[in-house]
Amino acid sequence: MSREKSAQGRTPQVVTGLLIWIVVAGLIGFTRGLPLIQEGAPGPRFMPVLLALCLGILNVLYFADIFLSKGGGSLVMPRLSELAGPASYVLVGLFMIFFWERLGVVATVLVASVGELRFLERYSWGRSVLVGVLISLTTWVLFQFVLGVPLPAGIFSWLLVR
Amino acid sequence: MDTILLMFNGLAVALTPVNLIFCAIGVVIGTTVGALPGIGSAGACAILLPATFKMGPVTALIMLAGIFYGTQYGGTITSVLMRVPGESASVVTMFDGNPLARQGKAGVALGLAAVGSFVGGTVSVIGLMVFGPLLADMALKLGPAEYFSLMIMALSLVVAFAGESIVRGLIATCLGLMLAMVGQDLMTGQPRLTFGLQQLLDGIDFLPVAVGMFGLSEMIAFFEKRNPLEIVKAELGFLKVLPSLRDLRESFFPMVRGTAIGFFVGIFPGAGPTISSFLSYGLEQRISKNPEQFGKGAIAGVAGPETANNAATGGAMVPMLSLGLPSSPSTALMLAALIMFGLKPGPTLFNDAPDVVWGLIGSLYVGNVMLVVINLACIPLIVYFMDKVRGYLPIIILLLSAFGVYSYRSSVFDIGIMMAFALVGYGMTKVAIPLAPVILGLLLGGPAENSLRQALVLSDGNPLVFLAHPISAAFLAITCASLLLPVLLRKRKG
Repeated sequence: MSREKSAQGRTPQVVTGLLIWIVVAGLIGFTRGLPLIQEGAPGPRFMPVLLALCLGILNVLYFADIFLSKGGGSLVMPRLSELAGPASYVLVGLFMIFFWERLGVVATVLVASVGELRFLERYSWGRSVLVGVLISLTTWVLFQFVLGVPLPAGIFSWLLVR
Repeated sequence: MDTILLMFNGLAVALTPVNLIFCAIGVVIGTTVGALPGIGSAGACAILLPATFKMGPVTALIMLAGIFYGTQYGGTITSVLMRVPGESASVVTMFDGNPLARQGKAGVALGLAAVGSFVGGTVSVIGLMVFGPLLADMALKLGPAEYFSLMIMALSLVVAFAGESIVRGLIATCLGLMLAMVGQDLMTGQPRLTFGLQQLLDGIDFLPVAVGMFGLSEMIAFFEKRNPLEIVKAELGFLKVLPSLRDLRESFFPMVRGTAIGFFVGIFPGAGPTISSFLSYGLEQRISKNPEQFGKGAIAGVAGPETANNAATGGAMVPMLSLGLPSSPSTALMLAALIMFGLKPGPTLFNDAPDVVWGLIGSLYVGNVMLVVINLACIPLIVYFMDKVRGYLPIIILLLSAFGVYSYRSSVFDIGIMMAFALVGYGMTKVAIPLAPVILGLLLGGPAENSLRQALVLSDGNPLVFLAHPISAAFLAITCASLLLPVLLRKRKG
C-alpha cells in the first residue's frame, strides 16, 4: 500500500485516538472538584481517575497499533456520496427530537414518515402519505391507548381540552 | 428433587394463557427480526424492552427470551435463502445452507436448522436447570473483592471474544464504565460528570444507549450501501421442510456435539451463539469423513452450528440468572428488565423470586416447542413478509425506538441520547471498536465500582485484598490469561 494511501487510511483512527485523549482529559478535568479519598475510603473521583489512567495507557497502545502494525492499520471509510443516506436518516431522527413536544407526536411522526418514505425509500407521494398516516395513527393508538404512555400533543393540545 | 418440583412450578407459570401468548409473540418477533438483516436480537430486545413495562417481570422476561432464541433461528432463513446472515450467529450456516438451497434443498436446510435449534435449545435448558442453582449457591459465598474480580473477568472475556483487537475491546470497556460514572455517586450522592444537566443526575440510562448503539446504528450503516437482496426461490411448504429420516440420521451426532459446544461456550461472557456456531462448524469439518463437502452443501455444516447457536442461548442464561452477569447484549437487556421491575439480579434471585426464574426456565421449554412448530409451518409466510416489509423497516425501527425510549421516562432527552449513541455506535464500527463491551461496561460499571470501593474500605485501603482472597485471585488470573493468551497465540502464528 502506498504511504499516501496508508496515511489516509490511518486518519480516522488517529482522530479516534485524539478524541480518546480528550475523554481522558475530561475525566480528570471535570472531576477535579471531587475528593479522590474521603474519610479513608475511595471517593467519587477514585473510579474516574482510575479509568482515565487505564484509557491513557490503552490509547498509547492504540496509537502503537495504528502506526506499528503491518498494513498501516488502515480501514476502509465510506465515501462522502455514501454518507448522504445515513446523514438523511439521522436528520429524520433529529427532526423528530426537535418537534416531538413542539408539534406533537402524531404530526411529527406523520411528517417524518412521509419524508423518509418519499425521499429515502423513493416511494410515490401517494404511498408515502398513505403509509405515513397509517404508521402515525398506529403508533399513537398503540402507545397512547394500549400501552398507556402519555404522548405530547404539542400545538394540537387544544384538541384534547374539553 | 427440589429442582424438579421448582421446574414443574415454573412450567405452571409458563403455561398460563398470558405467558403463552407473549412467549409466542416473542418467538415470532424474534424469528422475523432474525430474518431481517439490519437488526439483531439485542436491537429487537432493546426496542421492545420499554413495551414490557406493563407486563410484569415474568411475562417480560419470557417475551424477551423468546426474541433472543427466536432470532438465532430467524437469521438462518436469510443465510440459507439470500446468502446474507440475518444474525452474526448465522454466518456459518450460510457456508453450506445457501449451496443446499441452490441445489433445490432449501427445505432440507431450513428444516434441519429448525430441528437442530429445538434440540439445542431444549437440552441446554436442562443444563440451565442443573447448573443455574448450583452456581447461585456458590455465588452467595462471594464477597465484594470476589464480585469485583468476577465482573472484571466477565468484561475481559467479552473483550477477548468481541473482536480481533484486545486494545480496542478494552477501550470500549473503559468507555462503557465511564458512562456508568455519570450521575450521582452511589456512596456520597455527589453529582459526577453531569455538566450541570438535571437530566443526567440519574445517570445515563442503559436503554437509550442500547437502542441507539444496537438498533439504530445498524440502520444508519444500512443506508450506506443499499444492496438489493436476492431471495432463492424454493418450495417451502410444511412437507418440504420436514427432514427425512436419512437427513435426521446424518445430523444426529452433529446435533449432539453442537449442543455440548453451544451450552458450555455460551456460559462464558462474550462467547455466545456466534463463537459456538463457528466452533461447531470447525469441529464438524475436522472430524468429517468427507471434509471436502463442507462449503458445498454438507448437512453437518448446517445441523451442528444451528444446534450450537441455540444451545448457547441456554448457556448464556446461566451466569445471567445465577450471578447477575450478562454474557451478551441480549442477556444484558433481560437483566435490565429485571432491574426495571425492582428485582436484584444475582444469586439471591433464585430465592427472592423463584416464580420469575423458574417461570423463565419453564418458558424456554415451551418456547422451543413453539419455535420449531411455528418455523416449520410458517417459513413461506415469513419469507413473504420479509420481501414486502423491507422498504418500510428503517422508519418503523426509528419510530419504535423513539417511542420505546420515550415511554420509559417520558423524556425527549432520552431520545436525544439514543440518537447520539446511534452516531457513536456507527462511528465505532467504522473504526473497528466493538460495541458489546460498551454496553456491558455501562451495565456492570455501577456494581463494579461499588464492590471495588467496599472491598477497599473493608481492607483499610489495601489493594492486595484482591489477591489475598483465593477466589478473587483466580478470577484475576483468568482475566489476565483471557487478555494475554490471544496476543501470545497471534504472535506465535506470525
